[in-house]
Amino acid sequence: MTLFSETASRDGQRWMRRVAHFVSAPERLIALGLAILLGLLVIVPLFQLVRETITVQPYDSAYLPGRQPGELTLFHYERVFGSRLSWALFYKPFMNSLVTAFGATIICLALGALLAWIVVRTNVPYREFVNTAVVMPYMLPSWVMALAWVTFFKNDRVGGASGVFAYLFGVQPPDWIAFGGIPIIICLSLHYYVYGFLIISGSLATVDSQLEEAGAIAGMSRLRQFVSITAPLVLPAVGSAVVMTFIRVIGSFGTPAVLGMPIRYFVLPTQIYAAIGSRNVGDGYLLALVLVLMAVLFIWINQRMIGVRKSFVTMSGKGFRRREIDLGRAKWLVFTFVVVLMCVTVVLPLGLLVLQSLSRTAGNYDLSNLTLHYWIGARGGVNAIYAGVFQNPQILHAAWNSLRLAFFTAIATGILGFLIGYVVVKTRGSLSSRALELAAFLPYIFPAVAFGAIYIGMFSRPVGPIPALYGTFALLVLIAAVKNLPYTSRTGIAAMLQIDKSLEESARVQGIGWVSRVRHIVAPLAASGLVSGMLLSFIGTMRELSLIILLVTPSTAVLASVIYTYQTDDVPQLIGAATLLLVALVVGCNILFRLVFRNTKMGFA
Amino acid sequence: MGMLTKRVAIATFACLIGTAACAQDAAFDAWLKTAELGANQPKDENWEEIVKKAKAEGEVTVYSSSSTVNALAEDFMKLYPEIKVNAYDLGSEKTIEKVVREQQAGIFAVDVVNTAGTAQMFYDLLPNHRIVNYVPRYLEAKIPVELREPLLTQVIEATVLMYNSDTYKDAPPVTNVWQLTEPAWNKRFAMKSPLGSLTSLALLTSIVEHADDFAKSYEKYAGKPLVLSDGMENAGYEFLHRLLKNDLVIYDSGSKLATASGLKGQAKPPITFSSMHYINKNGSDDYANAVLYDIDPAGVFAYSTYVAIAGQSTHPNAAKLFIAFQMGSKDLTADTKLEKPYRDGESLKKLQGMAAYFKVGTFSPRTDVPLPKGGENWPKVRKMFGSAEYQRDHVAEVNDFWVVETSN
Amino acid sequence: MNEVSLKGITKYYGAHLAIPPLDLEIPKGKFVTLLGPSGCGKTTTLRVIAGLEQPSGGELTLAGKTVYSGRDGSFVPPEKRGLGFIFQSYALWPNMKVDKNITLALHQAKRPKDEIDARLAEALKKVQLEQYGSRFPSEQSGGQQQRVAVARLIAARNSILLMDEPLSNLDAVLRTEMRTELKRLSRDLGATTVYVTHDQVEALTMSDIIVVMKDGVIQQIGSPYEIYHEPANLFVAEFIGDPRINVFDGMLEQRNGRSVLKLHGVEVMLEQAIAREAGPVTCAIRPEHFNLHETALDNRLAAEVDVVQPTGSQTILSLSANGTPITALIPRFVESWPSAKVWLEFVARNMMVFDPKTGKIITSTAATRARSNAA
Repeated sequence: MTLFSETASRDGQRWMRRVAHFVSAPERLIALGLAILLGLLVIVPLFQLVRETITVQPYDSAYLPGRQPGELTLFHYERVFGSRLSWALFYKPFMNSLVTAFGATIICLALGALLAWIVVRTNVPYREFVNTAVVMPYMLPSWVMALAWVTFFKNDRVGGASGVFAYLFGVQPPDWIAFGGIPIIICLSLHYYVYGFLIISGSLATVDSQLEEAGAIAGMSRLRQFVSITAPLVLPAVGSAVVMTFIRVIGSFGTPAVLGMPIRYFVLPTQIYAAIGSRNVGDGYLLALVLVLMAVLFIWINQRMIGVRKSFVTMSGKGFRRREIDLGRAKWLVFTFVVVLMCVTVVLPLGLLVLQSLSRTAGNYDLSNLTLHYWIGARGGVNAIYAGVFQNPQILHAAWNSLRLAFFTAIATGILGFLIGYVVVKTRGSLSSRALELAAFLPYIFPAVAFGAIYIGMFSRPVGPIPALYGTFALLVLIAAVKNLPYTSRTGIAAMLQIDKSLEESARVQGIGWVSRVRHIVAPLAASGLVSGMLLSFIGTMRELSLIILLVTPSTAVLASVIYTYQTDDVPQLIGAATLLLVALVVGCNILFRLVFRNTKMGFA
Repeated sequence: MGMLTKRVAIATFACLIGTAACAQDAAFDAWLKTAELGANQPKDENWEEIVKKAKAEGEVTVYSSSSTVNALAEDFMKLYPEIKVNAYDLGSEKTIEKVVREQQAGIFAVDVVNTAGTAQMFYDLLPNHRIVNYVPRYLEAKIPVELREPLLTQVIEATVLMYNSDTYKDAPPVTNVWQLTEPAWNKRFAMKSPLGSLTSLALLTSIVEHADDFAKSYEKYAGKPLVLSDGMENAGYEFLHRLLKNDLVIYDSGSKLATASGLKGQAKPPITFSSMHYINKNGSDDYANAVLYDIDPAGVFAYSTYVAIAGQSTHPNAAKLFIAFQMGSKDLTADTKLEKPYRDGESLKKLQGMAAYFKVGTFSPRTDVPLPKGGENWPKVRKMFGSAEYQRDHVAEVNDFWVVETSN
Repeated sequence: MNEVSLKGITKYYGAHLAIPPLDLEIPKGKFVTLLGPSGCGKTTTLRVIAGLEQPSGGELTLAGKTVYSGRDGSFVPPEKRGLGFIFQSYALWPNMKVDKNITLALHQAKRPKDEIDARLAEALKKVQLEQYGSRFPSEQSGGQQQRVAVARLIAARNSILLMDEPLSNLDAVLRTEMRTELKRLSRDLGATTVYVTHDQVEALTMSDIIVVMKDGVIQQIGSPYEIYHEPANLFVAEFIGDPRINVFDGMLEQRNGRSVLKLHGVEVMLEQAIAREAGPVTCAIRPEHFNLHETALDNRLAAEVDVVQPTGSQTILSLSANGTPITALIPRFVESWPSAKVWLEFVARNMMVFDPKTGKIITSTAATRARSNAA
């Protein structure tokens, strides 16, 4: 009996030591902390989302008299999926979403793959230029294309000033060109093809030409080589590109808002926006849930079909020279194609916005109609209500907010990337490592608007220890940082893997404590790897609209959201000028960063 | 960063005190006391004291449904340069949504709420302490009680039927609203989408509320009783249904409507449901809009735009001052002579915050002030008002009706 | 007194047992080498001593202080063990200049500045890098980087030094040079050194004691002489020695109280009798222990000369006897062998006999006694 209790107490002691030992290892502590944090920020919202769809919301009082908010109900499911409103609320936007998302994904993939092949495998002239040119649209907000489209093709359907097309040809373009599915697909494609290009070119560049040459020696034809050697090797990357493009496109808000809402062509993100905007959150959350499920389903199908894992977010912007296919004379034709593409995706949209920003009366593109009012004019001159961007406190404040938001998000990306990378690499193979990687990947499945919708619900009230963050700038930083996590953790892990573990062990053995090790050794060494990830999140956040459109409040408005609000007022000139300001800020910051961190290798994500 | 941490700190604090509803109420009551609002509003307000405190507060944030708020803010700062006005033009729906969400989150960023949206303002914001009614004592006698209780009406606005008086020089093209459902006006009637605009939604609800009037008009027009289509509850819905069937054009911006109906030289100009104040574009943009005052049953659908102090506002005195300013100086009389430009010099001093609104379509609720030029007939015009209760109970229904009808 | 003491240390990676219970005592001030092929657990053992790996069980004592005990789970982390460690990659921090690399730990330990400066100067002087303090590691050659790592060790003045294949990234010439320096360093510091390598030359040249390991199990502990001349088993015999030891299948016979080995038709009468029944055994003889003859004689094994490889001071002869490859080493430079055949004489004194089943050495009791007396 005594023996037993002695053993028991010794066991207890040992267990205590184990706990003490566990807690004493910083990476385990961080892993625990991060797991809790990510659980709160990523997994709780998902539960919250589901819960909101099955409870009575305050807005429902008109429909459900006598029911108290918070009671269980299937009302939203009936309303959205099985009522006379369902067609308008769900099925039609859902169909539209599918059509535009699949349409855009197909074009993106075709275009991206073609360009990847041109850049990696052919002797196209000025390859470096071509390589840079085709990723240029990435620098612009995705909806710039849509704004430019409207400027060009706007017809009298929605009133207000006509577009350039009508001005030039005196004919109103038909509705299907001006608004709706087709322009949405085109505009989305011309922005999002960059992702397909980057992923596929990265993968294509790593396919060793010797494999194909071996095929050639074995007597295979070019086509045969491609079909049986190159294609299977690139296929997983194509699968990743499909998933990534699809999820981004189907969660995209800005473009369908500009090109669809005027003619009531709704897709799920715009429908969510409309529902949440009128505080009908039950509908909004249910639609958001549909979006999330679609993303999950899509990832799942892709995994089943191609069996690719975790490669969704890995890519690099580097293009190796490989065996080149001589295009002969056609190479200039191909080059021209790229230049034209560049014009259509970058030069023309920006040009149109410049033109727009300079016109005194919208829709009149005469030289005599030019004015600088919408840049530098004070209110009351050309326009009695709106001052030019550099005189407009609202726009300037929003621009400052954009910069701040992007800056803090980049910092958060750096810190989180560092911590996640450190923990995952240090505890590689353990359960915590895998759990952390998974949790960091989860935000990927939330389309941006849906994520915003979830966060608005989650942070409108205090949750446990977290205060209600709605209306704070911190919330914007938080959501941007969390949405960036999948990329952040990739860069973080990659950065950490580059550091030989003996560098830290050496310091340990020499008696240098954890804090000093991180400060003097790990952090400085990881920094260069993290910088490119931080730049990417900086740029991405500067032009982010879908994610934060639901969360901004007047005082926390950013440039992108302000531009969007101007879109519903009838001041196209100001939209043009403010958009150009945003583009200038993004490009300017990008160049500045690259100059400052000249020696660091940059990629795109 | 400083603001950020401050906000977070405030939010945290609010979270702590907001754990129980009663604690929230206690905080609100305490605020009412120190801000001297609600029941604590003194019988005689000491305006020197309020101005002094307002200047000490130094700042006031306004969420407004109208873009005129920017001009208003400028005018206010001309008179009180010590007080910085943060004016945000958000539209009615966003104004209400942001106020509710921010306060739910324990953020009391806004001081003055200035928007239409009777149903939400009366039955959501007001009882939930999101806003507090404030009427400067000296104005009580000068505003009819229904325009200051339960909330102060800042201006009475109206959505009106507008036609092009350049094309139709002699007489208005229609005399009965049901004419608009005829093929002659196919694709030639336009209005703003009610989705995202509370005023447009209120307009539609108001039409439904006055279904009986519309039914009578139909009989007058067609000489027979109205036969309702499948699923239509009443003549109001039927009217909207037929408008939509007749290819009603829906715009997303009000100013575009004024352009559509008012642009001179059109052969077949549309008739539009526009905000009345766009009639002033006739002067500035050389449009030819005119109001169908005499149409049956009515061409003017009036509604109130309210102004109130936000619950637990951090600048209550600046908010009081702002509202007092907005309602115009107490020196105004019905005979006060005013010179254009109103937003300058002597006129501004008298009109104060009314200056920016001193035009047709945004009428002051005060009985002791002059009417703007061109709006002299306003008191006599036949207008339809929507009732707050009806709005509250039917807005969602009308909204859904619209969603269904426009989705096909 | 033993400076480093491992008692029944085990290490699991998941379900895989990398080190079965391991006992090792390292006396103070000795240069001990853990030698073995890759994957033999020598690096793991070193890392266990350093604290970079936590053992799964057993007890580890450093300088009389228990730093790990599987019984009560106590574990002293590496930063509190006060050891010196040279990594295979040198682990120089690329973001710091040489002087910072050397002094960082001293700064962190809040040593007085004068002392740090003095130690830095001394360390740099010892490794002859006085001029290079303000360079980055990447601006230096491999040998210089190695010296910086050494200087770091010198400056830290630890009484136990651990080295994990520190010379494997150097070219042959530098390796020889650094070998000498490391041995001198260890001697001058009077430190207990545990050195891990798979290179037997390093082990033989530098060590006071060599620990040969295989699959986590210690095969033999002994001086370089013992390891080379009296391997405990066939594995050690084969692992040590370049060119490799020659191994033959033979028969043991007992004749008149003498033990006789028969292999390839040759009989070798052992000097000391082996207490073992007659039967098959495994015999081994090092290449340099043959006596080579030009002419045939009784009891000599005829072999054809296949390849001749002069290495300078020695020449390696690859021979073939009845199809069995044999390597011989002769202590002079020979470009080509004058005849096609040689006759090998087996010297009984140099023959090693192993149990063919267990691989363990079979020795006479007398011989063992003689050896232990010699030691």
